[in-house]
Amino acid sequence: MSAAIEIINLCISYRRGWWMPPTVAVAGLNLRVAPGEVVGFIGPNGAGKSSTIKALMGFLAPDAGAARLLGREAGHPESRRRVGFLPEVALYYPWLTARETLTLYGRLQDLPVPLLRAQTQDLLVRVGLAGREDERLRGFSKGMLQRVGIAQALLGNPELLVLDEVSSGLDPLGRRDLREILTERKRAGVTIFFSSHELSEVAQLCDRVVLIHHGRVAADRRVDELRSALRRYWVRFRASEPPLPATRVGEFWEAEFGRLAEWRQALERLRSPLAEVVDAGEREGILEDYFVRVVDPARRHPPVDTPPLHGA
Amino acid sequence: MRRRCIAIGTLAWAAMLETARRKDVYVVWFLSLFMLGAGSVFALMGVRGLEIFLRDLALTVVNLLSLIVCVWLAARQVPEEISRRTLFPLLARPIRRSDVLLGKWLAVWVMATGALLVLAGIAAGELALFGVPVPRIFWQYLILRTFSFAVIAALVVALSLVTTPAATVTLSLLLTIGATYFAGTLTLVYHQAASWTRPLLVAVYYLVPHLDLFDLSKKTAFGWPPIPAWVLTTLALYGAAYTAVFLGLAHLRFRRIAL
Repeated sequence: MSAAIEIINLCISYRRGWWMPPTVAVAGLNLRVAPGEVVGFIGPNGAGKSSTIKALMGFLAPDAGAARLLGREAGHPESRRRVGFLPEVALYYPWLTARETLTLYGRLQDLPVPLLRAQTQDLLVRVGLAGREDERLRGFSKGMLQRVGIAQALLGNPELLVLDEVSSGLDPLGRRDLREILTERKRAGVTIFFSSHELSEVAQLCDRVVLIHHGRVAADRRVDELRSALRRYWVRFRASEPPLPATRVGEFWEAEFGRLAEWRQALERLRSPLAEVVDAGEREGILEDYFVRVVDPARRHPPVDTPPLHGA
Repeated sequence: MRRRCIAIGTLAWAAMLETARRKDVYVVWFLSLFMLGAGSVFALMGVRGLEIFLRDLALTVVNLLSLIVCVWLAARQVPEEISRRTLFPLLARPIRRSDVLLGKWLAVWVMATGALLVLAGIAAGELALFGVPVPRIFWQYLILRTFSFAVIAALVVALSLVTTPAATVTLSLLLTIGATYFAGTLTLVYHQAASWTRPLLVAVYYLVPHLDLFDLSKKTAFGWPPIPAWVLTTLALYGAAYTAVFLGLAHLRFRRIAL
């Protein structure tokens, strides 16, 4: 089966003037997204996420390499026919109404008029703009514009959604609506490729996380696998001298472990008259710790059992 | 082809709707009021026996004002799309960059023609009030002026992709006014020029669009008979060729712009 997104050795650089050396944004990026997969594309600012997405959508020509959308060369107009796209900064025509905006994009997509009318109404209601369909966008807040952006991306029931900074500007209600919409689309088999700095959202929605740094894939992990790798086991105990490496927290000692076996061994060792276990348990690891560890290994962070990286 | 036509038409519709809503068309109404005011002054002064002068003046004003509207509208269409980043959701659709250019050009052409018709209508109405007859060639003047707007809109759209909007307006006005009023004088210069510069003048003569050919205002002022249909057709083809060249150059530039 052909991939929904295929990026082969993509290289992008920007020249700020003929006398200046080019700035490398993407340096030989390889990525494959299977149909129906939901992939979070994360990375620090300037990592090359937006440049990669722009190359995918044909907004800029790469220096080298290739990108394919649903089996077609990126940049070819037909490659975008079954793709819904949300740009990083959602700016739309301020003098058009929300309904006219969707009508404009739907006509450009060549959707039949009756279908377009029905979808426009449904989508505007779905993204929480019911009753404001005929207001001009110049009076909309950033979050409302983002909702219009999400609605336009969903026009025509695309097979692939490419969403750049999808939750930017949305309030908690908007984020919940967005999660529901994306979960619905995921169940319907739509491939979703999105970049976001909201790592909790990425962890909730995605099957896979691709972390890019300095224009290359620094990590490519399945979320369930990553979640179990990041799971932490801890024990809080009272002792005059800790029998294992631990940190003092008030009147107690606390120790944390990356592996279940180590934790069990520690609990065994603490069954002695010199120590008293107060509490013990496990907690989910957070993607942010992993992000920091990969992107900035020099930074101090809690000791975690870093899973081996592949795809780097 | 049908899809492309729909896309170009839709883009032109959006550009026109936005121009109307942002009250840019008000400039045409202000210019119209200016023309009506100027006409009233002439009415007070008395204009008997000044038919040619009045027709010439009215058409010169129509030429100038409609040219300003055309250049001003065309100069900001594409740069504004780029700076506002409204191009991204547009180009995320199955359309080509050339469709965007053609849609914008079409919108400017239609709006400039609309402005021309409003201004020319007012001029014709005022002349009628003064009892100055409008000759039949006036309709051909309007048609050829419309053709010239196609060329000018394409030229301005092309220029707007290589320079700033303010520079585009200045350059475009200089080029179009130069091409209208001075391109014809190159033949006079040719006879006076040193022999080694003559090939250069010939090249310039054939390269520059002769917008003066599209200007029948003097013939209208002097009440000339209509020009033959074949001349009109030839000029239409001449205008179409230059429009295609300028739009082609604009496309070459636009397709290379990294967004």
